Amino acid sequence: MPSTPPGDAVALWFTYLRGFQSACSFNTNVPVMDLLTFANSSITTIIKSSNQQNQFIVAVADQPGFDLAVSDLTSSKTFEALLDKFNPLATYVGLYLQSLAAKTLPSGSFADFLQATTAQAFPGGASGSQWQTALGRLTSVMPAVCFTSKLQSQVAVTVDNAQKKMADVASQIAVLG
Amino acid sequence: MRTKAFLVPLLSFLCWPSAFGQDKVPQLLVSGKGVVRYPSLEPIVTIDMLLAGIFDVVKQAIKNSPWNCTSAKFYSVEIVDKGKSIGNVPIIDAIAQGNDPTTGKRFTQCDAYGNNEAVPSTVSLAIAPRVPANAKLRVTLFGDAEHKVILAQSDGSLTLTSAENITFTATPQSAPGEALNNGQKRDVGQLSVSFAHADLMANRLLNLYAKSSDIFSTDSKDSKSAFSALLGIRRGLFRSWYTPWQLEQSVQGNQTASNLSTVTNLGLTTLLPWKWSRPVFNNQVIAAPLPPDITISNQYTHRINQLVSQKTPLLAVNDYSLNPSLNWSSITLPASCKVLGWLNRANTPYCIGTELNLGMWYLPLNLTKRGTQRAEGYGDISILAPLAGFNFASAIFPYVISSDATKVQIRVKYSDSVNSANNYARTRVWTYGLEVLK
Repeated sequence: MPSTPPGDAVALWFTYLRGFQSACSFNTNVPVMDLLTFANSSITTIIKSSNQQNQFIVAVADQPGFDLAVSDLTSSKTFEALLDKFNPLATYVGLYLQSLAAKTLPSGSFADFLQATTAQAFPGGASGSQWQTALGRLTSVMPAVCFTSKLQSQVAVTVDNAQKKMADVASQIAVLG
Repeated sequence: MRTKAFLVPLLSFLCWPSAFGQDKVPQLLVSGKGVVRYPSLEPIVTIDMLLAGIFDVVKQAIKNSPWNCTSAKFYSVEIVDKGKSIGNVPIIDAIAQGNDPTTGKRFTQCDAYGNNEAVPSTVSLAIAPRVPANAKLRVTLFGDAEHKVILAQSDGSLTLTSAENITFTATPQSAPGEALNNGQKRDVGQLSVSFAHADLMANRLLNLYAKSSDIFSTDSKDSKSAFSALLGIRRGLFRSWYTPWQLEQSVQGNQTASNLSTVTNLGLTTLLPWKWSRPVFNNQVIAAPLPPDITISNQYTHRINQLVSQKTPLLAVNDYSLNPSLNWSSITLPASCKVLGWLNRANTPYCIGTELNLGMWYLPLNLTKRGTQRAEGYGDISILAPLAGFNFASAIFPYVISSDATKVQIRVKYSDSVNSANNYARTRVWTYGLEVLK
């Protein structure tokens, strides 16, 4: 089994999102969209007719490899929500942050990590070296348009709040923007 | 800022004690749906299981070498009643959701990267379509193939709609004063029968299906008596482009077969490949980013027996029609955005759109008065304007457009249509209306 650094799952999430974008490129507005705009686009606005929805389902079953039903498209508002239904980005961001956290948290359970406070996981807050390393790693696996400096600043405020839990941080990053 | 609603239930599940040596079994998050495989168009039922919700359990289990989340032998699906199992549902396959980007194929294990990231995080179980409607299902993930160690279990409340390939209904009814074929009326009893089998062969080559819809009467002359039996096959023409075609053969008539015909139908629907079209159809003059839908239908009817009456004249023994049609919607006219903006003296985001439907009936066996083959074209065009694009509308209809301004539109439509059920009689109509969209 190959041993690669954690973070692959976060990068994979964005590979899947690009796969979704490619699968509905028959809508000529889609290929020119940036990834964040596409992620937040309404599915039923981008692919409207039954044939278009089925073409998307056919393409997605091949790459990136999801077996969708029309009900998946109508029950998820955006492409991000659709992908989260199968691969919750917040979980992957949480797992990645766990691997970069302080003390014994990386070797503990994921459930415990999500309940840990930011002060426990990243002592020193947003300006601490632990978080700065984690931030650097995250920006390397997430496209810049989906993890902008504005969102990074908002996340830093959460990290600086010692009472906040790591679940809050993971959720905030997974919102994208 | 939006919140990730799913993380709350996820957290509560993750916080439960581990399955190993603990009383409480972690809950498996499941959802069911009907999926149509392509290109075989075979309908199957799948249960999606979010393994990311039990990550700590999965992390422990992957250390046991024979355990594999993409192997069906580590799962069971039971039908439960008041928490007790009353039967097992056969599992056909366990399929990882998401491809390994290095191979381009589905993942085959639950720790694909070997770094405890739980990839893939969703596995789907394809189950045999023998689940009664509204039956409650419980899905269990085991740590061993012998099903002795339970790792996680769903709460037993999963129900599936359309989980049976076979449907049958028989409804008796009384029909007072029913019209008979001989012009008289009398009280009759009728039995309405409906049968459908969505997948007769259950294979990955093509979909074979059958349908029947009948009304049997206590009086053989009942004008409502009817039967229709249909056998069809369907499949996608191209593997990577949605092009389902179907060939259907049906026999239809009344219960005594005094009216009897066979109908053969060959049809195809698809959408045009559209990537190339951006410079031509998505520019400053016309914005049509989505392709038109195309449908082609061939129908051959052979009338074996005909019940001729004053109301039903004798029809041709053989009829054939070729009916190509095109539906093109979601077209906007960018220049109109500026016009609406100028009218409103503001830079509004609203534009005028248009929709187009075109088709033709080609009837080679049906000759015109001049002796030529008959062809009847038809179509309609609509001009659509969002009501919110007009300032006056907000004053007149404040409640109508307040919730979502784009959901109410004015439609001006001209249609030139033919009615295939009435000897292709032609009508030309202008329609003006206000539409509220769902």
